[in-house]
Amino acid sequence: MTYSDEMLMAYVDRELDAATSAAIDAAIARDPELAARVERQRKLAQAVHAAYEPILDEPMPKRLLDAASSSTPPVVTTPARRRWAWFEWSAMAASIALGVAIGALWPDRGSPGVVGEMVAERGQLLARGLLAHALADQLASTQKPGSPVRIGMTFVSKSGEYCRTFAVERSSTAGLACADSTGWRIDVLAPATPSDKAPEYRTAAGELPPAVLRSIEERMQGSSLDAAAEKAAQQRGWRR
Amino acid sequence: MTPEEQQFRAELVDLLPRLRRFGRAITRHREDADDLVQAAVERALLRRGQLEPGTKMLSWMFKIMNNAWIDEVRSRARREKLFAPEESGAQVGTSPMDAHLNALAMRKAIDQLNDEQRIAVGLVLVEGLPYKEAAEVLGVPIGTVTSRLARAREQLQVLLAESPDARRMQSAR
Repeated sequence: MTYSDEMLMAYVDRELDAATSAAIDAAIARDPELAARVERQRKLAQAVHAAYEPILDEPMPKRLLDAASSSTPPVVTTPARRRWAWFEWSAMAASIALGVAIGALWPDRGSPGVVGEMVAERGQLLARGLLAHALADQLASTQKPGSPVRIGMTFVSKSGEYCRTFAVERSSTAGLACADSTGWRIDVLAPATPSDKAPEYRTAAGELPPAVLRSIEERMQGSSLDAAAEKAAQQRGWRR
Repeated sequence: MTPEEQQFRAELVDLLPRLRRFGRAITRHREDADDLVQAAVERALLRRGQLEPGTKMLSWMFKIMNNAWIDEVRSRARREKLFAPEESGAQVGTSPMDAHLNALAMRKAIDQLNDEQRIAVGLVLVEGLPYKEAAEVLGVPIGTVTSRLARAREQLQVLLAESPDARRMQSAR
């Protein structure tokens, strides 16, 4: 009996039933050429496995540990909150001077944590006030020119949340917020790109800082929502 | 955090090294692999309720990673259409750096397999899943896994034999 490479591969991978496997054992004992073919298959499989083995011993990046095990104390109100992804800031191009951005957004240092339209809570930045209302209610398709908050695009993120880009006129900031069970969590925030055009002439994409654009690329699953889908999502309260 | 969630997270932490290893096999890059693991962990936490009792968590995570990677490959294909000039020419040379059939040369050979073959190799040869489990992760029949693996191995034999160092080793014998 001759054995195909596929059969020998399954033999090496211990995928054959006991009878077939025993038959090959016996054939190997009689046939040195077959034994050599099996040995080649076995060596290849072992070499593939060995090539990736050292990865198990590499130090585990903190961001993965953080993602899997919440290192913050248990939160009373909600399930699994992602902490504000500082590492993403640092990984993003050096073009964003975080200190400058936050400094500019933090006009009143006497009341830390409150930044007008946002509040910092347990390491996350959450939308409040005008921004929270705009994220919840405002549709990109129907918003009026000159609204204090402008909504850009809406999409579903890879982790299954609705996310929307926004620009706040008053603080000249733009960012990306995603809906979780407690409201709108601001994942990315950056100084708005200065534009010499009047607000109503800026395109939705043109006004977004590169950091925000990059975060969209990283997070978006599929394409952005069209006007009808945006409206439907809004009517469902941004739950999926 | 409920005790169930705590337990779930603890299991996730235990699986991280293997998720990273599988991620490296399928994405070919450390950073991409870690991004993929992170995205999969986040998805898993959101969809914890969808893990059916009796399903192995490891297989379930591989499935999430596989799906996330397919999404990513598609969106990159879209992007590369837009940014093709920047990407071209960035291909790294493929000649193995070491005279042995070492880990690096092997990984480079595996990197050259197509996505389907590489993922099958990642599940079965790197992670040691039985064909049946690999088929479940991929949502394909067992026969498909078997033939992808067989083609991948043939291809690897060819790639490894073709590599300049392997030739040198042969002629030195």
